[in-house]
Amino acid sequence: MRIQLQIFLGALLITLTGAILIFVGLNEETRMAEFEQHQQAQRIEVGAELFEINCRGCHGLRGEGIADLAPALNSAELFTTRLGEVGWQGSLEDYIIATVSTGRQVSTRPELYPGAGIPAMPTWSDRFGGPLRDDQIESLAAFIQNWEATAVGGTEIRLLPTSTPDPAYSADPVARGQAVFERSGCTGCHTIDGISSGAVGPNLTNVGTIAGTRLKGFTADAYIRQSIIDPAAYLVEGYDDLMLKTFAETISQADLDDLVVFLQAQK
Amino acid sequence: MFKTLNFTDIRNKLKQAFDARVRIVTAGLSLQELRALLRGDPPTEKPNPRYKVHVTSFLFHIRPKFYKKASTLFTHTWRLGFFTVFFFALELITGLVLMIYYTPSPADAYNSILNLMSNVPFGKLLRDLHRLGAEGMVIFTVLHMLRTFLTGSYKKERSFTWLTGVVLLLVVLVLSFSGYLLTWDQLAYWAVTIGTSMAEAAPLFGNQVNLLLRGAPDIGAGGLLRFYLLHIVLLPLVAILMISIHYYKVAREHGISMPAKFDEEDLSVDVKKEANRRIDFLPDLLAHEMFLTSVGIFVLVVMTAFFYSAPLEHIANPQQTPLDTQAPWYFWWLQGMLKMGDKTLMGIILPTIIFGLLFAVPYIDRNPHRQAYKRPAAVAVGLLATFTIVVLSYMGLPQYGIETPAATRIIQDLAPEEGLGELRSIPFEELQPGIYQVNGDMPDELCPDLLWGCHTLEAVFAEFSERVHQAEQAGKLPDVEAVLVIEEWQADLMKVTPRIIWTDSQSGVRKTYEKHIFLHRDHNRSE
Amino acid sequence: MTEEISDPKILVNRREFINLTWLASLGFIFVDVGGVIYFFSMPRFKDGEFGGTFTVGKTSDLPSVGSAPTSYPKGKFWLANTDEGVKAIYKVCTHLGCLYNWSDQESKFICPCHGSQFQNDGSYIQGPAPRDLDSFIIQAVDPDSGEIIAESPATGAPLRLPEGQDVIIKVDTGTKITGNPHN
Repeated sequence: MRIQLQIFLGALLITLTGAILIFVGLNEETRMAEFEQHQQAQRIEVGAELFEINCRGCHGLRGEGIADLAPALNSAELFTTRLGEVGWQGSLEDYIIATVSTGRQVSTRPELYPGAGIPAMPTWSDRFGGPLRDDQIESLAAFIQNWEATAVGGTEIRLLPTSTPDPAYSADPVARGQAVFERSGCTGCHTIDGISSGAVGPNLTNVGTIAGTRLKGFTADAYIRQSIIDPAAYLVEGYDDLMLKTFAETISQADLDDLVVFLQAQK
Repeated sequence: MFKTLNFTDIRNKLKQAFDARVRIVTAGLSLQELRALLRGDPPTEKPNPRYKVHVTSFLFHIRPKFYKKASTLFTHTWRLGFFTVFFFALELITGLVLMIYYTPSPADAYNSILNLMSNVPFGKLLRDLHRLGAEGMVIFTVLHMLRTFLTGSYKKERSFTWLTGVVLLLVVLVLSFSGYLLTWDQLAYWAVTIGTSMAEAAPLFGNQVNLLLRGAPDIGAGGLLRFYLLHIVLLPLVAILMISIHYYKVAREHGISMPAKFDEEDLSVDVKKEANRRIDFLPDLLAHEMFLTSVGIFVLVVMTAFFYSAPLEHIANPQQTPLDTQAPWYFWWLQGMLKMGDKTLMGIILPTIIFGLLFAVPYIDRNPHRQAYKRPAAVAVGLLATFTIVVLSYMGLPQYGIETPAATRIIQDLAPEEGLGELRSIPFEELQPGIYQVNGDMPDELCPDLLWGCHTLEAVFAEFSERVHQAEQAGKLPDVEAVLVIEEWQADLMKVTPRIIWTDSQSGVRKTYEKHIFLHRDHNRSE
Repeated sequence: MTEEISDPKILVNRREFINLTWLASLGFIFVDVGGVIYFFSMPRFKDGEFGGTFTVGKTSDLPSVGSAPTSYPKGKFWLANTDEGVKAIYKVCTHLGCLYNWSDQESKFICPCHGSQFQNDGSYIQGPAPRDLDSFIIQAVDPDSGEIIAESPATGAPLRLPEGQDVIIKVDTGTKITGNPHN
């Protein structure tokens, strides 16, 4: 009798198993599509992290680009006219991956974005000696392409009001000035030991000591201010007129004061 | 010619020819006999053709003719040996099928798993079955070994069977470990790096063993391929060989051991007769095994279809080890030991001694008795060993014995590098941009504009605040300031920055720890 | 197992019935699991992979009627815009599997292996090939709704694109229409 019960139960469970398999099968298309969405989301998230570490120094923290250095990636131009401009036959994704992987020895638009010297843009793929794997470059491409919605699609990003200061930098103007230095794109071109490395403009590690000696009649404070507001007025020997001219508009007066204090402290 | 045809004669001849064919295919069972089997009737011929099958048929040769009733008591074997083989067969089949889509190279392995999950019908189901089956195989192997030890079924003539069993335990552990690497995600990569770096610690030829296993000083394309070949060729072949030897000795040579009291105690003749009654393989044992198989398959399919998902972390990053990396659970005991001392002693010498002792159990144990109360020392040693492994496994957990700075610990717990964590579980709509300060005058309702509020965010923020306060009170984060910043970053992408600032008690310097976490609307919110 | 033989008058006793049901359920699960393994093992193709769908462009992107066909190497087809409509012709010759070429000078497809020749719409002219060139189904897709407005007929005839509408043209390289044998 017990054997009969076992056989009966066995048949029942087998049939139930078959029914569950069919049920799973019917849901597979939906599940697979959802998984694909999850993976794409993860690619964008990973890409965002990588961008912040590797790309923001030249392309800006929010992809807004830095004049004379690197183009904006969050603008409509990348998604509408760029491919036609360079004559790229393939997809935008392929263009981004190719550009990131091989870098740019020489800028394609030297009058606008001469870049960081030679190479204008570093090589990123580990196939060519760079630091990034293929999957990381793919993630970056996914993140950059995600700017299409705001660049072309009309979605807007609300920025947090900047009046609320970061608790970390509320007290000390030198620390505040360093924050300005780091977020305004200065790190892309200037080197300060322990803070940034950029080879386009002069090394600022000891600028606090040097600034007062550069121009006759200019105090250190005045010299630094002029360098930021009117970069073309004086060029340091051996450097070209590449510095952004728009800092006067993009950096607020308070930030500029902090920045000057910070730079003067670099002795 | 038609006049001489005798239809009854022809019918008989056809019947005989058909019967002969049936007997050939079934290795001796006539159609009548098959029907008797289905009906539950006794054999239709003498000698019992059902026994002959086990001699004439290749496939039935390894199966037993019969088992004695008492040896098949459920509370004696718990069917643990059966299910271990069941899991092995499951792994073989699911593994064979999964091989269709897997590529064993670092550039492609992870993507082949992604493809399996997103572009292959039943891909997730089969992968989950394979993963769950692997865990089951390890569990049941260990439980089966424990049972065999406690019932003393390794003594005297069964000593060699025990030896083959310990070999199988090793094979199963390495099979599971080698398979672990194949997904090439962070979990796999670092678990196997830690495991194989113990090989390096081996005295004399540690370096050579390490190079043999990995194909290079660190795990890369060579290591992955070698582990793959171990996993699909060498170890399965060894396992099949050892299982055959092990099972042949159990089923054909010695039979399953009887519960000790039937061998050692003086019981009445009737009881002994009933205990020794034969349960034939055909049809009863076979029916029972098929029943067990259907129960096993049902439970596994239900678990993988509705409850269980094999984990998949980020792709392996050889440049970065995530916090809280740990070995697979069956090696936590080893990880625990490694935290206690020198890696050669703890990682090589002690485990070798442990396995050596395991091998030697039948030869060390001089007590001829098998009943538990007559072998208190053995039972005590067994239970103590089990308990020790459990304790060591606990010590292998990342929470034990690893000092993480307080701020790092809080933020890691909130948003671990791998896995979901509480922060990432917050529904996307609840991530309202803002700067949420701990200790500040935060309103109770963080999102007055949202229709349903943002209770998950509030709960997570409360947890964050609580942990910060606790750490401050414990003196780990003096003068602490903490904040959670949520910003819109891109369409459907938020950036969340938990930040903790404190004064270092030794140097008096103000220190900051923060983490940038990007959350996309569509990210996987279930673990 | 019972010791006595069951009543021979009963055609199917309870044990036998359950065993037969059991065997039936085993049969069912074998078919079921067979199905699982079959659907698991059959390859699926993404867009842009040979075996999947290729998006060729819009009606406005097509070359003029009667001009040389356009080559799509990844999709392994020629897109020919004939008087009767568009056709996606499979690049593999129907003789023995070589890839044939388009000759601009003679305005026909010529296979280098054994000399079979075909018109720009794939119909057989001469040579050892037994039939016209094979083709793939073309779908005309509405650019706004994504619905398929028109599809190549199963006879292999070219697809007349809807007039006055700039539809997206997609070629499904997973569905091949065999060319008609010539006499």
